[in-house]
Amino acid sequence: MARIALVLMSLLMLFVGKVYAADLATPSMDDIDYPEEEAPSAKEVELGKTLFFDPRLSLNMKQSCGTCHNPDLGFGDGLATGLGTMGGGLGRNTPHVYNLAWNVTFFWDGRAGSLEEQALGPIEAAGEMNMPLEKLIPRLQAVKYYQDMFKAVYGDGINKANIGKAIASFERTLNAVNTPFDKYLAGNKTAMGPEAIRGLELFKGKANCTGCHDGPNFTDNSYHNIGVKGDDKGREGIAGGKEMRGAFKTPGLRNVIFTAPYMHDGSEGSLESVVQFYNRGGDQDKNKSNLIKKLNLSDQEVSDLVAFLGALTDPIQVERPKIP
Amino acid sequence: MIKTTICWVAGLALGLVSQVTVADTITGELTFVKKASFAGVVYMESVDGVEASSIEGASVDQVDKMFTKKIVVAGKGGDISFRNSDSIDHNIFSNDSDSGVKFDVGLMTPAGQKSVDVTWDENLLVRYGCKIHPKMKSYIFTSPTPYFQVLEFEKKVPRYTFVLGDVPSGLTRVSLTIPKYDTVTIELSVGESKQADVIRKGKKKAVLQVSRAQ
Ligand code: HEC
Ligand code: HEC
Repeated sequence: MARIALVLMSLLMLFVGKVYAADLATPSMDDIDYPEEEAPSAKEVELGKTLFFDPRLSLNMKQSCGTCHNPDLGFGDGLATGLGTMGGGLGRNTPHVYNLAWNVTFFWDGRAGSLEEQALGPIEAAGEMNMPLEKLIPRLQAVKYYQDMFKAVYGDGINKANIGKAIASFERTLNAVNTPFDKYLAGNKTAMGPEAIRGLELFKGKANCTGCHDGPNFTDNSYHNIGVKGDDKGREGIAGGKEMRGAFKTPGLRNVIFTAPYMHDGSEGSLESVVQFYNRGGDQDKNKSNLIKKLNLSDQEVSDLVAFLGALTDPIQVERPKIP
Repeated sequence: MIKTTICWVAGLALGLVSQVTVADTITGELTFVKKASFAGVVYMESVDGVEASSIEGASVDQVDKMFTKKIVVAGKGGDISFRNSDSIDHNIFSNDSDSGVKFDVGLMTPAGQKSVDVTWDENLLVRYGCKIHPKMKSYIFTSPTPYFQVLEFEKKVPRYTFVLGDVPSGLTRVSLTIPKYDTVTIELSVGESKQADVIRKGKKKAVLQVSRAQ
């Protein structure tokens, strides 16, 4: 009897062993949860873009959002960890800002719940732009362009909430949705080369990347400790719970080729070294997710995976606006 | 002996009478101007003196990293049972600033089951989620009466119909609640058909049309 139960149990385990992964797909604009339920107006996006690139947002007028999230560097800064306007180092790597329109929590540890809320963070953070909002508002008020634009878009002029809304509206337009992978999905079988096609199969199969990088934006929007060395508490610092120690948000992988170096601490310099990291099952085992194991990928398989990551590329041209 | 029989007959007669007056049916239609929202509930408001039975068996499952319901309806003082049918860990928590409701059941391992007591007020729409998978979202609605229907919307489908059956004639106010929208309440007697705008942040987002028949 006990033996039958055991057999049944192990059969059951066989079936539940595979983690559900949402289908990889092309993100749909219809699935964006705009806070106003509708896409922002072109005017609101333009205002947000101007703010994004305006160094007035930092105390000493040296840094804009675009300094660290530089469109020429995949909306990152090319550094392992960020540098603030006063020259001090930040503890974490500057993430890209692609396809965040579908995202639900922000920062490596998920401490912001919306892009609106997120945008106000770095402006005031002493280590970043170091600009108190009560000083920023009069500074923007002195500029006729901002006075007119805020009034036209929001009616109630320049305030904290509207600054957040404008920047978030611009960020929600930075969407990579027409990559070779999307063309391949749409039926163009030559859009991806044979390496990338093999890489896709590995991504979903042997390498089990979709255990976490799943869905249209290649993220489960969850947090995992994947075995990156270091003492950053990650999600534990925000949500508590020892099981979240060293866990970070699964980054989306669209346009990932532009955003080296990788990981929350910028410790992996190239996509190939990222795949090698997974291939050896991470660099430390304490509290590591049980989805991260040695993969035994051949050199060919490693480069197939890198080729597939390269097929997730849709360069987004952003003309820098004239700062008023 | 005779006395008890009379009582019994009277009781039967009373039962018949109340059954006749009970059977109102409310039908309606909700039409969004543009994209549909997430989900909503149409329900009858309570009235002092009209007894409404309690809502039982409120339950939600977690399958494929989604809640199986967009809104689960529960009664005040009742409970909701949550299941995890996925092969990964989940959690259920609420920290909803709009309603002021907070709870956290902790970790829910695969095949886990937890129950949450509904200790908060009626007529509240409470957002809850999973800390491990912040994209998972759903709401709990505490309906004042057991006469309700949940409408799950799809962004591209603008029109939804509903039917509330067996509504006691004493309950005359029908309401629609949608997260982040103003609640709409319509006073509705038998034979009437009425219409109202559904508003979100001062903007007309949909039209609600309701009719009542015996
Ligand atoms: C000094 C460099 C720097 C500046 C200036 C800066 N950021 Fe960042 N940004 C970072 C770093 C570093 C992180 C990651 C921090 C963390 O997760 O703890 C980040 C995170 C973000 C994220 C979260 C991305 C994600 O995937 O969760 C967004 C969005 C963002 N910044 C937008 C902005 C905006 C908007 C501005 C201007 C108001 C701005 N940043 C200014 C360095 C910077
Ligand atoms: C257990 C969940 C999980 C699995 C499985 C997983 N990843 Fe990741 N991935 C993450 C998390 C979490 C991070 C960020 C970790 C950190 O910075 O500490 C990450 C980071 C990355 C990055 C760096 C992105 C950036 O912007 O810095 C790439 C590239 C990547 N993963 C690709 C892959 C590939 C390829 C596979 C399969 C071989 C894979 N991942 C498997 C969760 C996972």
